[in-house]
Amino acid sequence: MSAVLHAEWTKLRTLRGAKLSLLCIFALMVGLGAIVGKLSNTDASLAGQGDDDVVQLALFGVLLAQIAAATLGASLITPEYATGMIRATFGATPRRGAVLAAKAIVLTAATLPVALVAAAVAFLVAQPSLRGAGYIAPAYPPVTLADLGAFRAVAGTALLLSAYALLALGIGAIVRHAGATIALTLALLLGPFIAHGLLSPDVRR
Amino acid sequence: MDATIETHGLTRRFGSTLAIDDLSFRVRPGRVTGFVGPNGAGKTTTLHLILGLAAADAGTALVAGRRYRELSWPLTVVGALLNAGSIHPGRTARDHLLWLAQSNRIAVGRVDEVLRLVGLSSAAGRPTRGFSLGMRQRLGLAAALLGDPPVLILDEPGNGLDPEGIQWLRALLRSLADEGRTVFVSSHLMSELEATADHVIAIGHGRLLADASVDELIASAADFRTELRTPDASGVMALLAADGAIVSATGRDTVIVEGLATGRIVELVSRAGMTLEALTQHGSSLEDAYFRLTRGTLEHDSARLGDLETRS
Repeated sequence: MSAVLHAEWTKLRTLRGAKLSLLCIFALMVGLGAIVGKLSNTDASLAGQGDDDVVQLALFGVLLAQIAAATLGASLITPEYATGMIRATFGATPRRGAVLAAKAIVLTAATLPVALVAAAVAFLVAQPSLRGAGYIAPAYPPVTLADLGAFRAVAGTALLLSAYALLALGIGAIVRHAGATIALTLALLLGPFIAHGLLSPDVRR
Repeated sequence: MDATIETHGLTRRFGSTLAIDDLSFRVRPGRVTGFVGPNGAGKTTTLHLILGLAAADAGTALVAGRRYRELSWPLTVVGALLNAGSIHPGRTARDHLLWLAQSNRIAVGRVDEVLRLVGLSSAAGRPTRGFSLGMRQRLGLAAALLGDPPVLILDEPGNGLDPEGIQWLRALLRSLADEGRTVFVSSHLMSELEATADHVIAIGHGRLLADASVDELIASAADFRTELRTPDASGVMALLAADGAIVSATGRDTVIVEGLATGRIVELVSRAGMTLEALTQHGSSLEDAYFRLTRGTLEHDSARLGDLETRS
């Protein structure tokens, strides 16, 4: 197993698309976190206690970063089918389950730390931006990563992005085509939101 | 380790067509064995079955006595070159070989060794996107040689190589066989193999047509076709036809004879007191032997095509 892990890590490390996808995850999380204040209107002045979720606002880059995560997951497998390289892969390691498991492990090893740092940095850079938009005490007391809720949200975001990447890898292993993989993965990710929006408020409850 | 390739009753269907039909053969070490057949004969499918890339519907394929999928470090037993597209265009030649080496615990130093062996050292750090077909083919050969395997399976290795590259490839295959390795090389061009192969396995429509040494095949084709020029064409034709030859007139005084040894033709004609002005022997190359072998399967194709045309 360690040999195939080693090989899959080298493949990921030498894949420009994978590195770009990781960079996109970071840039989208942090970039959107940094400008979130410009995009939101506080309701703090309306009442003493605001009901916006500032932690969620700080991490809203995840909506776009998840697309980069899906692309990353797909990029580990669909180009191998497109170029025929998969024959070299299975020729070198005929145990196909081991190949897929190794891909899943190296994908998580690359995505999780990047997503974790990206979410933490996004959260931090969003705080001054949100204060600038009027999210201030007493309605919005300052939040830090030391707050359990905020920490859970940041860690959860990183896990979510890693899970999306794995989902795309799994779908890619089945459909073996880049476009179809990303389309199906996004449909699974966004489907619930769209369905939620279409349903009447009565049904939602 | 007995480094042979063996198939026993190998059968593979694609839908209702029988791509590989009860194919049994044995490829031995220490020589270059050509694997020939017209396009679509089932060569690549057979190689995929041997390499565990496709599953057989019946029969077995063994490499060094074991099924490919049971080998723990397959690249150190079998080196395979499949079509030259099996490389990610964004990766450098060296990185491509690096992950292959790591996947089978092959010493990383071997990567630069095989790059030098195939003459790609100077291009090793470039993405393969910019490689010519010939360079990709060399990289594929480097990948096949990476694990220093006793068995080599090469699918059309000459594709894309320039004449100089072909010469180089022939010498390489020769030296690999001389080292005692099993070298199994597919080609749809018999002439390409004539200078390299010691032995030939020919298939057509997924069935075994021949499993013979190159010398035997050439000998069998040597008396394939003889062209005669004689003032007494009709007399000579009657004479030779009576001895079982297939004769046809191609001009007023030229005759083509098939299925009769040249020596026998001369003997018969001179004994009958007839005159021969010229005698040209055709069919002394491996290619002619090959055409004779595959003629049956090609005729079968055109007959079927004729059927379709008359029906439509």
